Amino acid sequence: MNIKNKISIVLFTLFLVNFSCETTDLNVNENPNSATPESADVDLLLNGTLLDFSKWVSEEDDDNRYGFEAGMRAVRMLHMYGPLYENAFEPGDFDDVWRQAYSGVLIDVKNLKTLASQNDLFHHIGVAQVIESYTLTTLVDYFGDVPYSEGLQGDTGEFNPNVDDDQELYNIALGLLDEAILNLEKPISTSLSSVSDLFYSGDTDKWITLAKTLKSSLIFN
Amino acid sequence: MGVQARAWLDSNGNPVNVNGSNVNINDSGINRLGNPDLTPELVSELELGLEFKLLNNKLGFEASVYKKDAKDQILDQRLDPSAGYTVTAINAGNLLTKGIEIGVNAIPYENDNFRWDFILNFDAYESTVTKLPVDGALFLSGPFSNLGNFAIEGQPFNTMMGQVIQRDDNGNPIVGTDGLYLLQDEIGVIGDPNPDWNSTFINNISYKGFKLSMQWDYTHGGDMYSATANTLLIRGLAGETAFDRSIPLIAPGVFANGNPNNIQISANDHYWENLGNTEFKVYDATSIRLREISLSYSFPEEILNKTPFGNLTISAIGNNLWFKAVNFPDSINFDPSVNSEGVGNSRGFDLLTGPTAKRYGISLRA
Repeated sequence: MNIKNKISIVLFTLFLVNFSCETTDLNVNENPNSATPESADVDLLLNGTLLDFSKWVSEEDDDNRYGFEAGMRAVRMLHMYGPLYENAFEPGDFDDVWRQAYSGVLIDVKNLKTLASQNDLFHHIGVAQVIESYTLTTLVDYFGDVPYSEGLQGDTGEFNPNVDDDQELYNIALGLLDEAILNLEKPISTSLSSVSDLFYSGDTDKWITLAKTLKSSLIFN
Repeated sequence: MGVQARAWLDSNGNPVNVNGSNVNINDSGINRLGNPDLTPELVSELELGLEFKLLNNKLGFEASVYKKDAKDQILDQRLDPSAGYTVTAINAGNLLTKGIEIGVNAIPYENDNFRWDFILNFDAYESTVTKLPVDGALFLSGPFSNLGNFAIEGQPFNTMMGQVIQRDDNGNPIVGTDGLYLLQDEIGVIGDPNPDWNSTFINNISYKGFKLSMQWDYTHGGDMYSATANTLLIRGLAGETAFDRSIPLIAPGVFANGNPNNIQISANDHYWENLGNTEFKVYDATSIRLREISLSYSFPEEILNKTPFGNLTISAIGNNLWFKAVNFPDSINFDPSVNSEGVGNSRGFDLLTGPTAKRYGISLRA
């Protein structure tokens, strides 16, 4: 065996030793194909939350339009297909309203609040709280008692959260608005970026106005 | 979250998602929860076969019975979105499949010029969900979350569920104060899409260079949700409903208190509102079909000797020329072999899918 072959064998062995280990490491703890709560960008998450929320509440999405129109149907602002409630609505009509509220909007709000509080981004937290309060109020308006305190904890194995009392939830929604106003009034260096805030282009005064409007609407509810 | 990302394959070789995230990078609101406790599927199969040939190979017979037990099947379970996640992969219990296959091939008559042979196949199987770790029904696939194929313990795999009307103890529909049927709050079983048995009959008759082949298929049983048939019926566009739709009638049924229904509605309302309910869209999908017929002619060698070809056959072929779903309304001529869900495990749903095509062809083979 000449020296050239020996060198080749040594190099090849080194190659195997160095490069084969990576493929046997199967304990990758994060899904490389999607953003995780730890790795998400706070501005983009805010962006996604607002987008989710607007689609959810504005019936832009075909899936939940039917569920959201239900309110207008029942009071005959829209045509209700069938004279009786039982005929007009079918099991599953409200599934998407429910799904997009929790696994669309509220889970994003939860992740956004966690991320923002790690970096003291109080304005982000404030906006998240306004959206959370509005979503929660709407859910109570539709369904009465809904899960909140035990909700959104699927990662700890809580798959069937118990519902909270609806009056209690209205109070929580009011509290969230109060906290949101306080957070939005705090003077901080990094505020909302005008790009990631799709509603008011980073104008916290307008967010505070919205929070106060929602408060008055809740109080008169 | 400590969820491990691993590459998984189920027993059919399809990749399985074991990891996930609850961050919505789009607006789908669909969040997959990783399941680090997932274990591999295990399939064990027992098969007994029998084969013999008689009368100088003029009669052949094959039969096999099998039992396939799939344990820890990996399926997606839907979660209550209020948990923050909508779906996770679980080891969803056991599936037991029992089946039988029988094949007969025979040459009833053969001489120098003429030959008739046929093949007759029969197969039947039954898949039952024998264990399911979740309460109630597990959504498997299908068009909507309230209309699709489900796994229910003790029931056939892919059982169809959808909206069902309220009925009293004797099975009479319950009507509301408007004379129309009332829906139940929860979805219920509407059918079993798996056929009881299938059969295929292939015939070949040849005389000198001519050969006539045909294949007949028969499917017995199995349910089909057909929006096509129902849409034509409830709108009065089918031959069966070509009557005056403004005549009054009283829908068969009872009130919630047990008194017989006495609310008059129009025939149009009865068809549109009552018979338009999901459970009335399900038909028995028994069907017979002429799958293929072909007539071919092979030129004899004496002629081909003068040409460069060693073999020359010309044939006319027709595919799917005739079918009849016997338990569908006659005027609709519906083909239950359509599937709106495309490729996948879902079965038994037609949501106004285009019909199957007939195909004619001529081929020349040298």
